[in-house]
Amino acid sequence: MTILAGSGSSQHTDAYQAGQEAAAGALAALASHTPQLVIVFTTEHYDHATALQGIRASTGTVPLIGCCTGGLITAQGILERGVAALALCGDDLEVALALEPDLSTRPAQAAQSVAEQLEDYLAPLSSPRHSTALIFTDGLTGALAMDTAIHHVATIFGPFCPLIGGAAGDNLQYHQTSLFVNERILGDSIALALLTTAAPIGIGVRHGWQPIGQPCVITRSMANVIYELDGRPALEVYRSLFPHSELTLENFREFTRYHPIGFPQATGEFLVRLPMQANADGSIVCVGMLPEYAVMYIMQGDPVSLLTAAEAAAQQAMTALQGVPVAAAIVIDCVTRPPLLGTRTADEIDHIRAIVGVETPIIGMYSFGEIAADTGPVCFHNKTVVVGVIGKH
Amino acid sequence: MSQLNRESELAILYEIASISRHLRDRETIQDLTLEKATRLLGAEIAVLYLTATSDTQLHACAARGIRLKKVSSVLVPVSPTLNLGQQLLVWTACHSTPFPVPVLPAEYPVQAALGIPIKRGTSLLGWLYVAILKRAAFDPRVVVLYDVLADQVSSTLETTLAWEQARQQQLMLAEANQRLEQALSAVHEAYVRQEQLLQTIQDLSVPVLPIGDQALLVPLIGYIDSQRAQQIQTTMLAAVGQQHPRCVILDMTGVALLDPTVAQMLLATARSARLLGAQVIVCGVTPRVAEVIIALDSDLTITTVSDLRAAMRLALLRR
Repeated sequence: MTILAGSGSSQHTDAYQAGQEAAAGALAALASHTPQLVIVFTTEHYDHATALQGIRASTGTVPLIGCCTGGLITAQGILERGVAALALCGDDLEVALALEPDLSTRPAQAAQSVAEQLEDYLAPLSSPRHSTALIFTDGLTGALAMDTAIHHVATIFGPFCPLIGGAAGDNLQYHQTSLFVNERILGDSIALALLTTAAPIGIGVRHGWQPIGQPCVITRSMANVIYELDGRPALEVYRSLFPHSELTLENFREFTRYHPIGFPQATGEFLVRLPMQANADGSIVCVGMLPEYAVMYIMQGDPVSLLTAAEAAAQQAMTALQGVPVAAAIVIDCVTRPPLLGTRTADEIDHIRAIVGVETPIIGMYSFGEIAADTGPVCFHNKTVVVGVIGKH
Repeated sequence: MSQLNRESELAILYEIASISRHLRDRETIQDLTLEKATRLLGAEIAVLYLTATSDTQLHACAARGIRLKKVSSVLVPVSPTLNLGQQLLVWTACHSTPFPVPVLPAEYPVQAALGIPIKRGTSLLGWLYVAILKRAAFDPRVVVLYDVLADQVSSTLETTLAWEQARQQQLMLAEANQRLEQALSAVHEAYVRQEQLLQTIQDLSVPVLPIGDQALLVPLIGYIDSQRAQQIQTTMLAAVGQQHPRCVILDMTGVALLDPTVAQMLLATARSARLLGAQVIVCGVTPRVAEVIIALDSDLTITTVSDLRAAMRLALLRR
């Protein structure tokens, strides 16, 4: 059996038209085959319900999953505004979807509930087929809850069902975002699509950030807030590491895009966290949970290191296919990487496409956090690029 | 792991050592242990077993990367072929035999696994199982880090368990104290109720009934002992002192028997009433009581009549 895929996108200003055009582009590559899953990414500029109506006008009731994003990665390039769709079909492809609200207020229960709705569809270990889960979460309300939710989903699905996905967002306005499952549109929620097929799936995860300077110890923190580093107010210590910069509460978020923090892991990769906000009390709020009493480094990257990481992620994903041709590629890329890549932002996607195949149908999102497993367990990442590839057979 | 330099290794050691700062509760220690075993040290599956206070078996209490219901729920730490507390088990799929402890279902294609005893001295507090599926083996340096993790967990767990035990004892003590206070309170309430009841009985045992505004009737019923005779005296004299009746009728119709001491006391009471200005009329004296009174050989200066009706009539005449 062959997995078929097609991708399409549209920047039409009318939401319905944009949805319809993106879906039509995706379906065109499937010829007469009926899609079994449509992955949809949009930007905040659209009325999502109308955009989904446009898509479903073309796809009918085909299972649909997706979210609003900080930007689109498409075969037509990076789109700050638009609707993108990827359609998948295959004889042995089975798809099951679920959506659960209240991610921020009850992350463990929401994750358990959404995963348990799909647990019975997991491929048995004895089967030559295997399952992979696409996971999308609200990156604006659920950033703190993400780690909890991910580990609960991973525990229910087990290590044979890799997770790949990201946190939905907007164009860095941090207002609100939405998750889609079929015709349902929700914020503050978690969406899953369980794909089961005999075709191999490869996933690569890299960030390209390296530690600089001396390590600091988080001496007081709670959840995603650092209060003290080395026994002093966190912001004071962070500032002292950049004596030549005018770091204020106002420009903190922009500044830290270029200087995230990282925690050494036994796998050799650093777990990267993005400091999002500095408070007047000297505390620093990060995206995602922080290990308490851990040693952290200021991380540094440059366009070359980020591009190299993107290539490495694509290579890692392709290696997992063991020579099987690629049917489709999915890219989950942190929304804060383009500011550092600058004029080379498009190069990152070009480098990935050069490895997964420029003709390979592709869809991607600029995310508010990335979800995937590297060589260890699945994690919630920041400032990372995740590449997923689906084999043709 | 090949990229893990010495500085990072020290940083990881620091984070592992920080577990001892989390002396909160057993659940927090479990979560942290599994979080460090997976996120920090890279295991894809981690299962934590702890010994229960009631037996020596190891019970699966928390897991990551796999549902708890899918792992062996109980392990026997010592078998004829294996002592889980004795050493760290290192296993890879290259071994000709399976991992010696059946933690996961047999169909799980685990590439490498570790079984790490969590013990203090010779006592086994728990056992940590970790496994990887994407890589062929655990790096020897990571194995050492898992050993350090187990050591930190054991000391933290020991302290936490002792603290929990102390807290449990405090709770039990507080509950016992509360129960004792409740019991004391109940006893006190019962005592107060009994006192009230006794008072009521006493009041009823010496009723002093006014007849018009010049006479009092004191009907005596039942057995009268010295204590009750004293009470009759006190109550009757108090009433005479307060109400100044001209006449007091002591009705002994209900008294079948009287001992000499009590009879003496009643006569004394009658004489005392006279000193207070009230004439005492005794009525209803039975023959047996009369015999006792006569035997006293006392100066019988009180008025006696046969029954209450006669006494009432006499009292009314003296108004």
